[in-house]
Amino acid sequence: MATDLTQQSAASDAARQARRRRRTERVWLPMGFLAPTLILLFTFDVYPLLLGGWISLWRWGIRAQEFVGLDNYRRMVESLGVGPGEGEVGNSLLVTFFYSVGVVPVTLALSFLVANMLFAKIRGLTFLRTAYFLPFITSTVAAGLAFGFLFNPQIGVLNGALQAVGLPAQTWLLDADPVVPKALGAIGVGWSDSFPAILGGPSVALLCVMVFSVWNTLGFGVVILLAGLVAINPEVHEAARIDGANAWKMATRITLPLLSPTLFFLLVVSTIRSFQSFNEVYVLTSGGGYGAGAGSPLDTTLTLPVLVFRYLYQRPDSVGYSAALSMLLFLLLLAVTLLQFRVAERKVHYN
Amino acid sequence: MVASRTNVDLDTETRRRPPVGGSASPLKRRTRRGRSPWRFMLYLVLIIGAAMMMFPFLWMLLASLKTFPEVNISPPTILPSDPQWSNYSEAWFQPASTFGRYFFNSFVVAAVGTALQVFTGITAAYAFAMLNFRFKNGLFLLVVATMMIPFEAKIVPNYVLIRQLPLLGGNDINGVGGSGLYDSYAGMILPGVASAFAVFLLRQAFMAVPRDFWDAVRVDGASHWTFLWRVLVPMSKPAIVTVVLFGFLARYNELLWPLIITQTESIRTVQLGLLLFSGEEGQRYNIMMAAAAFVILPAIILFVLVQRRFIEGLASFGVKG
Amino acid sequence: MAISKRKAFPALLILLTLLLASCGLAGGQEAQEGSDKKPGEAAGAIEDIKVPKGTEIDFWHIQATIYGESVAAVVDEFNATNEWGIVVNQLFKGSYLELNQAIRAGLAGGGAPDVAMAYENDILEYQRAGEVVELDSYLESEKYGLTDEEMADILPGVLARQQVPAYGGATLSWPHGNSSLGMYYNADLLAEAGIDSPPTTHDEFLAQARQLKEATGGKYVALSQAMNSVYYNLLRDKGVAGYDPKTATTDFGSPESIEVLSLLETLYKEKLAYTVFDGVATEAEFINGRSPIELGTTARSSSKIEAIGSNFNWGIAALGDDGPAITQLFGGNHVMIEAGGNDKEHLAAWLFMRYFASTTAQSVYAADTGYSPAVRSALETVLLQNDYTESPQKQQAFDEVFVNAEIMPPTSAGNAINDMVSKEVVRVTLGQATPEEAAERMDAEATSLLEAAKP
Repeated sequence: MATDLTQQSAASDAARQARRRRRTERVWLPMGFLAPTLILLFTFDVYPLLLGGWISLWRWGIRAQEFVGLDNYRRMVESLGVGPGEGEVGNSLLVTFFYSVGVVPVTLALSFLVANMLFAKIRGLTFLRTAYFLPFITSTVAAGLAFGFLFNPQIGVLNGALQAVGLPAQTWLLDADPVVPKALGAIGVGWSDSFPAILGGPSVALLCVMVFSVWNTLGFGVVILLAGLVAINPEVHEAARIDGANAWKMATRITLPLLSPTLFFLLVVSTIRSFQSFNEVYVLTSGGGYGAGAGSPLDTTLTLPVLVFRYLYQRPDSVGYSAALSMLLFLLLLAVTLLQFRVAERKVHYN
Repeated sequence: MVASRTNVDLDTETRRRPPVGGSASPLKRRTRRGRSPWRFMLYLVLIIGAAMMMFPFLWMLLASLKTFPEVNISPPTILPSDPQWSNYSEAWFQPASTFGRYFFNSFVVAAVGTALQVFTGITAAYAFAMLNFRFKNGLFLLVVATMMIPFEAKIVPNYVLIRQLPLLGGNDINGVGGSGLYDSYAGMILPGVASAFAVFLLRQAFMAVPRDFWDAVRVDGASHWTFLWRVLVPMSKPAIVTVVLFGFLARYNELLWPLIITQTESIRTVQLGLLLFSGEEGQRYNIMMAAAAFVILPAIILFVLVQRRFIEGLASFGVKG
Repeated sequence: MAISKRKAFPALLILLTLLLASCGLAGGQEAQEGSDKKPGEAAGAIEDIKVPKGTEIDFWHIQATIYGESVAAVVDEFNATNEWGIVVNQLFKGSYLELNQAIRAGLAGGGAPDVAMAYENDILEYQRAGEVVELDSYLESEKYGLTDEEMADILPGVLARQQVPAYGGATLSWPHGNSSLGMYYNADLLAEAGIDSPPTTHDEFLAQARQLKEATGGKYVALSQAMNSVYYNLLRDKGVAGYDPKTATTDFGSPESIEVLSLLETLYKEKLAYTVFDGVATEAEFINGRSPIELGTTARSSSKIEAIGSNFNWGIAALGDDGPAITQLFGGNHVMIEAGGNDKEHLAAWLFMRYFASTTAQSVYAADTGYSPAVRSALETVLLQNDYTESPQKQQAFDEVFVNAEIMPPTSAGNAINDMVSKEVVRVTLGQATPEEAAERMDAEATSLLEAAKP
């Protein structure tokens, strides 16, 4: 910046050259490095976002129909609802909240655990790593079918196992009851209907979808963390071992901090993916073509992307409303990510 | 007797030998881990986990060898009673273009797209990691924010843009008259070239490199460009390989965009071919699983190659203080 | 100087974005302007249009597997034998979701197809955007239209769905492939319980279910989560229409509706019915002999024939009650998109659509797949006769179920109503709502949805 420099004499050639070099460094050089990415991102990503914002101010079917200003947003707010299950948008936000809170920490923790295990010296490493990565590259449809079988109430493996130990069979993906009252009820603790819905937790069906999601994304997290682990200088580990650190201390005092840039990255990306995840939910809950939309049973798996989808494809003239919901999703995600940058990045150790 | 070519030869301490100073230092002593119960537990947990992870994949393979009536039996039989290897050839030749053509197209799109993605990702990440300029943080957040844009929102605008690119595909300067890059490899590749994921990951990797390197090289008067490609990139191989892996997978598995932007069978990709086995009125489940099996194969091969590089240690550390 | 350059950078980016934005929106406007002309305005001119040899038209559909192969065969046959040299390019565009996306994109940015598959609700949306070509002038044309006999040949339910009241008296689509909701029954399982024929009234249905439970302990019917189809079917068995978009009234609150909901409630309370994931799962239950009755689409009769083989005796029937067993009609139609081409291309597209719905094509389609033909004359072709002899269940599906099939009145609120009905019916089966409560809620919700959807 001009203020950094101490301008002694405007006529000084050296000063002018230094300024030019600094300008190059501070403006043209970054622009050069960034230009391809930024141009493409602006054209194919930012522009659709802005266009979406514009569309959200209209009633829109196949084409624009009527400019309604903030009407779609007003409708959204009205649909927030108070009380359990009332208001589609409110319900959807709650479901999305359960889903993210359930999936992201578990994925991070499990990925860290598994990545460390798969970094040790053991045999068959290639095979094991490939095995853990397979779910991520198997098509969601095929994976969903297999998981659907697992959860099948009539002939599924899970129910078979439950019944073998004398527990009652569950309806799993068809079960819209919240998990917490159910689990507490199983061990004999009562539940009052006056408790707020949020304490009831996700429905059993949503829990199943979350399990599927974690299973699906685990490979992704493991590979990313492995890449980070590989980049850690082994001499650091050696030194720690010489000092007599055991596995736990190694993991928490050494590996964790050194891995924190990668972990932070995984946190942000996992959160983004969980907020946007549509395929996993759709495949397990769409319940047949002619009628039941995704988000069944009883809308307890209706995450925000599924809601956006519903208004985009399954309601008339609702492209504008769907765009408004997309904006809500985007802003929510942006807020959460900003929070993560503010709070978590403090703890990240860069070199 | 373990024939695995992974890092069995290296014991725990010498996980990776630094290229500088090859001889074993006295610090690298073999610790007798031997057959402790911990290792056994480790193996057990990992193998059980691996089985759970692989179960749908195995399911897919088994289903691909069954006949149509058998694949409809539930509870399902485990092993096919009469393995139909012909399912694979049927799946391969069934679509008009055959899967040979589809694979070629997928490779072109994925390879070119990934190469471009890596290039743009590296340069952009360098700017965010190493250079200082105004609005740096704001722009970076903007880049990350593009990952949050829901996919459906991008389809129609991108389609319109691709079709109306000026001076391409029969369009005049206003982008009217022809069809732009519709129904072409370029049209399939272009929107996905810039990847916030790549930029973010590489930025993290670049930022983790100690400042000393930069200072050391700078003293010799090297330019940013040289530093980036001669020093930083070789040091960040794991991250770059990761970007390549995920970038390739993302293009390879892409379905909706190629479906919308292509029309000619001869440039369609593998995922579209796979879609031909599940229609509105029912699926040929067994043939579909056969197709899915050979569709997933390149992804598996790529992963195996990539993760081998991880183990063999691409991160070469120079002299560290 | 230096400062302004740095400020210019983001400003430039914003400017670039706005430029692109205005281009995109302008593109949309242009496409819109082109849609105002209608061929119907120059009715007599149809006779004068000469279709140039080699005219190409684009046909986008959602058929894959054996259905897709059959469509390709029909298209190839048309391309090879039509007297005008028209070439149809058929393209598989995924499911209805992807197809809709593709059409919207095409309407926004150019490249929309000439003919596409669509359900009535979709057609209503396209019509509101002025994108559907009305077919009446083609139908009535001397040279290119249909004779009275040919019109009478089309099954009434199928013809009616091309000309629904919501279209305002116009014909906006033409047949593609049709199926209906039938009741599959496993004759062997029923015989084990002492039942020798499938039920023909709701009371019989319930009685048989109880009988089966007593005799063998098993459940009678598996229902998918998408309960709206079953509900509509049972309702219409009682001679009640369902809802009327024109007057925005429904029959969901009627005594018949409560009877239907009570039947379902009873079935679940007494553990005579159970819910499974979707239509594929209900079929799995039927094929594997766990559920003697399945309410499913007749389109899956061909896959059932292949899967069941000779494992057990089975058939298809219509349930009915006191009314004439009106059942649900499924399958998509062909719609002609205005922006797809000019007058000549429209005529060429019509000629293709006419061919697809005619005797030869429908006979091939019905023989290859589980669809029932749209025209009666197809039943007299050798191809279909042989096929129906080999697969008697397909004949049954046509004779007993398909001939009485009608669609539910199309309305843009259709999907919303379906979802709502499914949800309420599921609540009843779970015991979370009584039939009266559910009926009242369904009536109220549907009425408000229909009100909002009135043009």
